[in-house]
Amino acid sequence: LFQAAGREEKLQETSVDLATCTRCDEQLVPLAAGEGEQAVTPHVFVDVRWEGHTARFPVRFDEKATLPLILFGRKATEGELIEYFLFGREPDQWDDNNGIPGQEIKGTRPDAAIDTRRILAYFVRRFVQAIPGIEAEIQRASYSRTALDAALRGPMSPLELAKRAFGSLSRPPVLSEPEKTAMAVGFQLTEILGALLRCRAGVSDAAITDCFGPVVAECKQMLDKLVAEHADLQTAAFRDYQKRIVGDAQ
Amino acid sequence: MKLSPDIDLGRSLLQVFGNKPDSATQIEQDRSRQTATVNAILQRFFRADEQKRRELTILADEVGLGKTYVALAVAVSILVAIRRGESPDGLPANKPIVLVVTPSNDALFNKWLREAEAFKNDCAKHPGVLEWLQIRTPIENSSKSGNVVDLAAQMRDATRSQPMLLIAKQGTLGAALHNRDLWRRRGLAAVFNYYRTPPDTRRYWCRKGKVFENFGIPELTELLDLRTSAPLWSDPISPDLERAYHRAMSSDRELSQRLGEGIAGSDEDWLSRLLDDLTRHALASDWPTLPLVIVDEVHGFKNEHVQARRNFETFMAGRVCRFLGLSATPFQLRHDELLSLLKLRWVLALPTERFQSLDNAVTALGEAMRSARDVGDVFRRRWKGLQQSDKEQIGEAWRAVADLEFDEQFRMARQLRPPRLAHAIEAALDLGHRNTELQRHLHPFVIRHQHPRGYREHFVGGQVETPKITGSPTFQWAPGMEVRGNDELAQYLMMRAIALAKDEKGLPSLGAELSGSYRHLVETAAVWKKLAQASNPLLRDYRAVLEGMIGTRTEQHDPDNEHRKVQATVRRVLEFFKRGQKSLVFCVYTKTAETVRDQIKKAVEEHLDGIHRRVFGDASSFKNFQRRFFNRYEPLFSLIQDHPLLGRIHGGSVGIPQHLALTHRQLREVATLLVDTGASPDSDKPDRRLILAATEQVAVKMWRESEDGQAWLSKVLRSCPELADRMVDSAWLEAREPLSRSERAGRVRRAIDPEAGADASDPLEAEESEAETSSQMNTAGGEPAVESWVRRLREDAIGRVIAPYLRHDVTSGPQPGLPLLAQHHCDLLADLDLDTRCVAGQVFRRILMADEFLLRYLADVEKENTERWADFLAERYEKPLDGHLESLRDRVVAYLETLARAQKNKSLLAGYHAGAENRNVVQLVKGDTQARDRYFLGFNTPYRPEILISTSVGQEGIDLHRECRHVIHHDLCWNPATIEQRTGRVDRIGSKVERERLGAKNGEEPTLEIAVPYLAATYDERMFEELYRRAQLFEVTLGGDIRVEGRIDPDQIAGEHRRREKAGIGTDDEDIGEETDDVSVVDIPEDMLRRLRVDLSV
Repeated sequence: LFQAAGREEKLQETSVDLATCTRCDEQLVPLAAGEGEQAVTPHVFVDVRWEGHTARFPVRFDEKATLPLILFGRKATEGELIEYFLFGREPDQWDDNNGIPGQEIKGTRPDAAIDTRRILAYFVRRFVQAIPGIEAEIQRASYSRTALDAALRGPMSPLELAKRAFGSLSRPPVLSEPEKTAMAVGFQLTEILGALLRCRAGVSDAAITDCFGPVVAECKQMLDKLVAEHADLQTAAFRDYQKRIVGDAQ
Repeated sequence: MKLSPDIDLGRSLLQVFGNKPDSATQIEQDRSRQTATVNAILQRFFRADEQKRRELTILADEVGLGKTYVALAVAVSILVAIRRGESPDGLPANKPIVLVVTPSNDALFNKWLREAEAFKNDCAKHPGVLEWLQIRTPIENSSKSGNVVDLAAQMRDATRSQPMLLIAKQGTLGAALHNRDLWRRRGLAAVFNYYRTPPDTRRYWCRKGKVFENFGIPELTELLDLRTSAPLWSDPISPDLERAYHRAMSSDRELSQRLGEGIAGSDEDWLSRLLDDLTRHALASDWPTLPLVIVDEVHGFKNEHVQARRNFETFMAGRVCRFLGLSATPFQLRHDELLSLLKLRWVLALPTERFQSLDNAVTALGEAMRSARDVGDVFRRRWKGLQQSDKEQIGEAWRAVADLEFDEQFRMARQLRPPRLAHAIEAALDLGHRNTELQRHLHPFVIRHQHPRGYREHFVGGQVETPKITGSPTFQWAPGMEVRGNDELAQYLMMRAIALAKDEKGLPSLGAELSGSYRHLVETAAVWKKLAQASNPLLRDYRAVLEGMIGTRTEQHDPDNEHRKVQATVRRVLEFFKRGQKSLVFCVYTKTAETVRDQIKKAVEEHLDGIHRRVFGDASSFKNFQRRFFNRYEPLFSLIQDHPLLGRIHGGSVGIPQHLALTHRQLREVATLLVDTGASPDSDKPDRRLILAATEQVAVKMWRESEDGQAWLSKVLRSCPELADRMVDSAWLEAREPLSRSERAGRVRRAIDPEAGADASDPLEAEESEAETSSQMNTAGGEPAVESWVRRLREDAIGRVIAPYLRHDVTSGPQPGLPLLAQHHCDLLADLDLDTRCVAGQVFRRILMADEFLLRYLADVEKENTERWADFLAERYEKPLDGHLESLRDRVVAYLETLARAQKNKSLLAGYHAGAENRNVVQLVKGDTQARDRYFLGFNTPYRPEILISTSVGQEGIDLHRECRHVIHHDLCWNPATIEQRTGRVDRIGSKVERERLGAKNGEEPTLEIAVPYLAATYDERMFEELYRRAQLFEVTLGGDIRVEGRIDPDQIAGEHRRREKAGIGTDDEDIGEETDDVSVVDIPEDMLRRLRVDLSV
């Protein structure tokens, strides 16, 4: 949230320099920017309030990185991240009861089908459906380092999804998500890594390609750790799969 | 009208259950239900109050409750009444014929034929009282349907004194005619005559080749000059065929108009079809009015545009007095489909006012159904609004309101909180009232009984693999089997590969093709082929990984060795196999069925090999043991042979009355015969077969000379008196084994199992090969040979083979044990004719000599103590194996009872004869199986196959209940009625589970075990959840419009396409039907189910 310095004379032509204006919390209390904050801000939006009205505007992607960041609220769950890549749904569209894409009914959803969210195969299927979304998001941001950094490592990024997936083995599942298996997570990490590598291969500018390095390395590290810890993943079949999809990812 | 006094349905039940005190209650219950049903149908057909009369009725009892017998009882009761001149007005007095229309499926048709024959014998109150009934089919060959000409030919033979039950397949009415040229010539003659066709046109059609199969038929001149056509009409099938054709043309204006257009045009094919139709009409117009038509699986007629139904309506119109439809699953049907079935009333021969009355009743029913359906929809929606946490409260709320007064119920319901509880209970109450109304209108048209479910035990998902748990009597949810390791990876890789194959536009597969078996995916599923043809290099990588994991089957490795569900099924079946219990496995896909068969076969072989190695060491000692039973030079030879001269004597024991037993003098005669045949008394290994035959010959000769002896022969050979003649013939000593090999050898070769695996042996091969062994008889020497034989037979162990035939004072040693067949089954065997007795003896020997039986029964014998093995076997014969309530003896008794019943029915008996020679322990029955009947019948015996894997060919009309109480639904389906239909194969009157429960002691309660394995977190799970919730809703929303299959509602699919496109999700028909069906979440309380259910019982 950003608070304008004062009321402008001409309401119709309000113009605020977001890079310099005061940040505030939800109660519009000014906040001081912390030091050493990460300059990755893929989901910055502007909450504009005037004369009892309120409206929320997205910020153009390449400008996000120019803004100071204040994170608030909860992090997206793995399911929400998948939904983001699958449908491009932003966090403000999330609600606690919704998990099935395309379902508009809230509450008890009296006409909903069997709840497939807690069935692992359905969950993984949604992840598979989201893979093109992951690649598209990265490709869209591949025109600049900052934009790509934000797309690769931000709170709604493939890296974040990989971390959620990796972490899902060591924490109880949330209500709307199934209990994961090492194989499912291994599959997810391999696929995310594969998507990153394919995107990197499509970028010709070396300076931009460099952005992939740390993210790929981090994903690879998680995958290697997972494989080392789970005998299920040490089979010839999984090795073959890994080799074909991610090769010797560096 | 009531059930004819000549019919006793209890008698057939007695045949099924056997005359045991334990069975009396069950028999009485079934008898009274069936009798009440017959009376209820007859009452609906003929009641005086026309408002309540229904000339069309549907009997919708669940599978296995004896619908066929009820229908036959209705038919025969009507025929009896006509025969006696006591039939109600409106029924024909002459040529009484009841037509039974079966589906075109051979198995169902044959089953009708068998059961009709059995009914005639088993349900006659007194023997022979129904002998007058002619049971006919259009043609002898059951694999063909015959046609209207054949039907007409059969119908001619019906007389009032000998009414007819004519059983025909649906296809008969529309089947191609034989000798087509003749019928088409007649047709053309009739048309030319009807239309006064000019000579040029006649000449034109006479020259047209396609109308006739043969060119240049000289008789065509008959068509050119119709005055010479008289010989054309001469046919014994109809006294006035020409008039029949004319009548058909005059009565069916549409047909005659089309024929007129046909001859005016030039379309040869069209005219040919019209001419054939004309012949059918002409012949049908000559048929007598039928007092009753029974249509089995009447739901097959739900679609008015199906050709079989159109033919039925066309040719039967106005020719049927009463109509009885049979269907176990009428409520798979939508409302409009049920109403469509009731439109079959228009084939009835009724006065206009009766049609009016029936139309009114159907209209009222339609309204009641619509109302119940609407309320059912509301109920479903509101019930789905409940949450799992409401489960207890909803049960309490229901109990609180269910018994209140009407108004009070709703007032109380409305006060419930949270409001969703109030809405659900209100909807349930409303549905209850609507269903009551529906019941009032539906019951006159439909009668339905359901099985009591208490003896069923469902094992679902992971329960299938969990040992020693108690299953649920109803179809309940349980967690699925977890898929791990490569299985799981394969599922995900398939999703990804399919997503790529679809350019990531549609919904990737959830691995539906994988859940049954890998073989199905790799060898059949279109999706796998599609992947192979893809050009995307990334996709090729996925395909390559999958190929490595599941795509290659070699002799050494089968990917299904690791398939989770396949292996769960295999393990379960193997457990039952170890305990000597049969299993029935249903698969949807043929390749899955094949892999399941192969895997089970492998597991069974490994298991038996294990026992071989553990118990007998090398294979030769076991084989030697087996041979000792068949080797006529070995002491065990007599143990498993049939001894037809032994019988039940005073005091209940088995043997020969002492005053008829062979004395010393007769023993000398036996010895003389032996010497005459060249058998040496000094032989180390005398021929026991010869000794037995000689003893039998001497005994029969002796008994024939005395009254008592003749009485004994009449008693023990009551069903095969010709055997006595054979025994006294000199050839008897040469044949030596008349009740097994030599009598049956020819037939054995003829009935060879066409699907016998290369390694599937016949246990009697040892017996066959024994015939080739020369007897190696020694020449007599030293002591006079006869005396020497007498001494040996009295004192030596060799004498044991004939000890039961000798007087006690003749033998010197202790009395040996009796041969098994004589000891346990002499009474039942004596009821079999010679042919059947031979088959019974063969099966018995096969059972005891088959590896799977012998190894099971000797699994824990002491390896070294070979001499005790036979005793051990004899002891175990009477004791149930672990986990089994029936001993092998009990099972053979059931089999012999079945055979005794079947011997009155030639086609059934032939099936059992063939089934007795099945080779495969594990048998797959699929669409192209020619000999499926022999496998089905073999499965109903204690012998092979022990494990039957069936595709959908085995889910209808087949009885597989006599020896099996374990069903595994390996592949799921969307329709609970299909699952019920499959389970119904083993849940029938006289089933093994019924038998075991009747005989159960010590609080044991054997169950019909129904396994529904499914894979957790996969497509299977989704399918299962849908299935079990539909099953619940089926129960109460009888009036609801339940979709049967997930994909049949085109409007819904179109709507779903639009929704998904709008949401950018992509569309995929594979998923739409399944994803969007509405289902309940909270289980419906049992009491509510009971109260909401529409009761159509009598």
